[in-house]
Amino acid sequence: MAENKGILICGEVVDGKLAAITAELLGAGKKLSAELEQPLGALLIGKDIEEVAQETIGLGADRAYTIDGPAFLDSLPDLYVALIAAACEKLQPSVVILGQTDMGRDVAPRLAAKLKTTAVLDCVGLEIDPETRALLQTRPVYGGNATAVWVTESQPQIATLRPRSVMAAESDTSRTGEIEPLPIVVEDSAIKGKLVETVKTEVEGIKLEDAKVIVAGGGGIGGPEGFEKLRELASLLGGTVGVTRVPCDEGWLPLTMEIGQTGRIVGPDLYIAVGISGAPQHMAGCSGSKCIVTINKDPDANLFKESNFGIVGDYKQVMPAFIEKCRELLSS
Amino acid sequence: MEQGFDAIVVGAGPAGCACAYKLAKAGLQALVIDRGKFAGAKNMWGGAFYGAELLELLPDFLEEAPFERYVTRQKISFLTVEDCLSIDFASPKFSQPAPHGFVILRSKFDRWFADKAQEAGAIVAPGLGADDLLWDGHRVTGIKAGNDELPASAVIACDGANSVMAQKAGLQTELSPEDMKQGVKEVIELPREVIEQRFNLSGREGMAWEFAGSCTQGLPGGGFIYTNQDSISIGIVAQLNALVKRKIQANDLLEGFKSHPEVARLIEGGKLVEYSGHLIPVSGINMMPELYRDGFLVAGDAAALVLGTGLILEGANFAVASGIAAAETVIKAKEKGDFSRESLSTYQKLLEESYVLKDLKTFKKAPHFLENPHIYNLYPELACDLARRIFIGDGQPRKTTWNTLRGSLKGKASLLQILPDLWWGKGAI
Amino acid sequence: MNIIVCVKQVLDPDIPPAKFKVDSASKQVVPPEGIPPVINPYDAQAVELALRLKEKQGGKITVLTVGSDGADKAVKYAISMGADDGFVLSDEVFEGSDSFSMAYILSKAVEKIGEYDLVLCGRQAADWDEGLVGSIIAESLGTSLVTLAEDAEVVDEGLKVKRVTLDGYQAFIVPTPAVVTVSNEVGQARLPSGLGIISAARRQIPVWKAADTGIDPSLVGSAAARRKLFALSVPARERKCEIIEGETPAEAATKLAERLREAGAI
Ligand SMILES: Cc1cc2nc3c(=O)[nH]c(=O)nc-3n(C[C@H](O)[C@H](O)[C@H](O)COP(=O)(O)OP(=O)(O)OC[C@H]3O[C@@H](n4cnc5c(N)ncnc54)[C@H](O)[C@@H]3O)c2cc1C
Ligand SMILES: Cc1cc2nc3c(=O)[nH]c(=O)nc-3n(C[C@H](O)[C@H](O)[C@H](O)COP(=O)(O)OP(=O)(O)OC[C@H]3O[C@@H](n4cnc5c(N)ncnc54)[C@H](O)[C@@H]3O)c2cc1C
Ligand SMILES: Nc1ncnc2c1ncn2[C@@H]1O[C@H](COP(=O)(O)O)[C@@H](O)[C@H]1O
Repeated sequence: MAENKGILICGEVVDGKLAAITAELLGAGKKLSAELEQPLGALLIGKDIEEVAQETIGLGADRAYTIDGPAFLDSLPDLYVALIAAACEKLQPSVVILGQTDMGRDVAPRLAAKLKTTAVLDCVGLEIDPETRALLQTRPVYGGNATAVWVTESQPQIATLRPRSVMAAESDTSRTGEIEPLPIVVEDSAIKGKLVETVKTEVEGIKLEDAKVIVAGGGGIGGPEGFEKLRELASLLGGTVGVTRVPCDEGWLPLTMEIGQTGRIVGPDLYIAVGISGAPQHMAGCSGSKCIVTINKDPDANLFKESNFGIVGDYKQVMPAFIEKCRELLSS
Repeated sequence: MEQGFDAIVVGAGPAGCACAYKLAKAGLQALVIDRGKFAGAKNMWGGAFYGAELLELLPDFLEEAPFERYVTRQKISFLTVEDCLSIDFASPKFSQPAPHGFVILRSKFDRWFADKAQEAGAIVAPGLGADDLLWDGHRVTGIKAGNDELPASAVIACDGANSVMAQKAGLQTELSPEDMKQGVKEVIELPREVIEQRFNLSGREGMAWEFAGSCTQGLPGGGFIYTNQDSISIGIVAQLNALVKRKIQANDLLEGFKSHPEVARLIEGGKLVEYSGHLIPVSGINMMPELYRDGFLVAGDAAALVLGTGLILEGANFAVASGIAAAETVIKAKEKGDFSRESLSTYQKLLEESYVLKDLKTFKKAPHFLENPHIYNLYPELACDLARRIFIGDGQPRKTTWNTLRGSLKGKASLLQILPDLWWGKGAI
Repeated sequence: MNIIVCVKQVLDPDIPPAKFKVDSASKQVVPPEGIPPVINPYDAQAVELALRLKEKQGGKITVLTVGSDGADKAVKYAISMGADDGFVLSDEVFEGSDSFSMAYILSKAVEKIGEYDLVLCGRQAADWDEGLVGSIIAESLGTSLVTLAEDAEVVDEGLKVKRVTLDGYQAFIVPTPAVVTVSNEVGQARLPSGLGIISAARRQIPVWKAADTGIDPSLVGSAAARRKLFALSVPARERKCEIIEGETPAEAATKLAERLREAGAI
């Protein structure tokens, strides 16, 4: 096997700007680079990205590689797979990290197949085993019921990192490093099919990922009307409303509001869970919240075990007084 | 469907599995359906199976069946709010080679039993609920499940308490709360060593423990504890109409029972892994529907074949025995090519010859007698009072009393047999 | 349209968390007794998508699973939903295979079946949640691929597939044969019908061993795995919960607000 060396993060550029995940990838990469004593490279694909490439150096990359290409959502994933695979062939990194994002979750498995290695998706922790120097890749499995640590025995070791699972790197504009454009030509045969439409549904108000307060409702809310009270509380507290899988399946609210393993991963300061049982698949998306409050009529609901505060009761009877008191406290 | 089944068995509980197994062994085309995700998915019971039916029916039972423990200790306790008087009967004879009872967890056991029926050649279809019957005049000719019509020469209703099938067949009206007990049960996980130490067991030895008194706040019924391998089943059974009348939740009774000092020690440090509730038809023969009509038979709880003599609750063995009898009846009917009411009347005869109806007749009066509230509040108080006097009085148990209690526990213990003895015992001292 | 759906049997993801256990020493999940495995929910949704396509286009749905004892249950479940045919791939040498070997085993079976327009997989198997196999099958078959589909329809040039993104979707048209991995956004899988359940229960599902599809044993099993499990544990997520009580729900609610204020949470 060739001597693979170095850590390569595949950053993302959205609307000409560095996406938040990139700084997190660099944060993780910097740590690994120090532990492995190997250089950290940042790969970016986009149009006119000299400047953002420079930013990655400020964020800790020793070297930035740029590839001229469209944004991920404006292209076929095939193109990204081919570009990144070619870059890896050329750079022979030992560790490749992508974000567990629209891009990373699609590209990483195929990249692994092309490079005859494997990929570990959705990692929440990455570190180097001091003994073997292997990358220890920690990720939830079994819907969040368990945590597994994987070791890849082939090269490169490819992982995707779950957003918000590590601290973003801080910028140090005094850092220097080289920017190297990679001239990669992708053969037409590598691209199968065409993109016919990209649709982005705009969320009103605060994005769940950015919210400091989330009032989340589950199957216990009983119907779309019940969410009115939750919205009232959320707007009072300057937050937003999220849901579990059940209200989506029931058609009360759209899946874009779903929090959990397959929905959004959130980490607000305050998470108020109303009529939610606390299945691990849901907790996978919100267990990082600072303070969790549960309102549930079933004292045995799992969520109480994972909460800081709780009321056992019918939310219909609890919410009005709670909203009232919050309003009073906030106005005083 | 190209051609119908010889028999469709509705419900894959003990009655249905036994019936389907027996039918398939005889080479009949049998379908057993259950509305649960798998056989046993939502089923529960306290946990002890008494009797030899399973051993006879399933030659591999002892080696293969996922039972938890043998019942080698039987204990009965009378509770007041603070005290507990117990009778503890142990016998090594109760285990191999002739065990008299097994502690069983249904979710595991029913699935194994259903697999056995499948191996024997029955078609087992979980996830399928029967909604209605198919008719040709007054003859039942199959079932309706969702949008599908499934024809069969005979339908055997093994769908448990409050049988919709028996109701649809016009054999049973909806049951009233007087005829029902409500059972609630928790499974509490504990390390095996802890269970064996707390209950004084080893190996596959197991305990069946019944309680009367304060655990039901004086309502007809009782509490129970069964030892599984790595967990304890603990529950309460109480008369449904009494619960309703007194506005008591069975759940609250269970919480109270669990916090009785004697009981709390047993489950301390355990982890709750399962909670379930179920109705039990307990009026025995008084509520028994007609058991058959043209092309149709009822077995198990669906036919109210439960012995609900107070503390002791036996239904699973009756379910298995009646399932087998129903199968035998259908096998004969198939030989004759006659599934008429007349031909299926063999079923009643088979049950009358077996202990099923004999026992139920013996205890015919029990349900009413057992509604006597004294049994559940006065007697336990008296018993504990008696004990207090014996033990705290002069410190030494009196031989005569002790022997009386021991004597009454010979064979299968029943509260019915014990109480008069206790009564008498008090007078004798 | 000939569709092949890959389905896996997994530990029921709906088991209560209290029943989930691992043996950290042997790095294995201890399956709770009495709770049988189920078809991976995403795979049931893949079967659902296949059935919808078949309803419009006609054709045949064949189901494949790699597994040992009892794996035929997953195939039977798919058949009870309405799939036409199915095979179990089972061999001792498959034991301990990783996603690459799984994809290889499944690709070989797909090639043996021969005529196909579409291979559907779930977005991930709800046990190890890896999300790899479908993509790798596409690589090894050399077909086009769309991951995380919420919908698919047949169009002149091939298949139009909507791929779920964080804030919406992308629609692609890809040539067939194609591999598509299916996300929960396709909607709930239909429940099996009574006749479906019975016809599935009556079926014997053929079992293919490694040799039947020309699998090279050195490419499968734990020896060929490219990754290894280093540790497995149950995360400690428990918090100390302060239950707020009150005479009435409203009183408890008021107290809760006050406590949250004290704690600086609002
Ligand atoms: C592969 C897979 C992936 C999944 N991914 C996700 C995911 O990403 N996100 C997600 O959320 N789920 C996910 N799920 C579903 C998850 O397993 C649970 O089924 C779901 O989270 C349960 O939602 P719930 O708690 O809202 O509903 P339920 O489990 O129905 O619970 C409702 C709760 O409300 C309480 N309640 C009822 N009425 C009232 C009332 N009036 N007042 C107060 N409380 C009341 C009840 O006591 C109960 O605890 C996934 C499942 C699978 C199999
Ligand atoms: C708390 C409690 C403790 C008990 N303890 C004991 C004990 O220690 N020993 C003992 O011997 N007995 C005990 N019993 C009684 C015993 O559980 C029953 O007598 C026995 O289970 C009866 O078996 P069955 O097959 O008739 O019915 P069930 O076990 O009730 O099975 C009926 C089956 O039919 C299915 N079904 C129902 N309707 C339909 C439908 N429409 N279509 C398809 N399927 C359907 C159900 O899903 C179920 O699987 C106890 C009961 C309770 C509730
Ligand atoms: N053992 C298997 N048998 C059949 N299909 C499988 C198997 N393992 C994985 N798959 C398919 O690949 C998908 C993704 O699995 P995974 O990559 O393991 O998360 C699943 O949803 C299935 O469609």
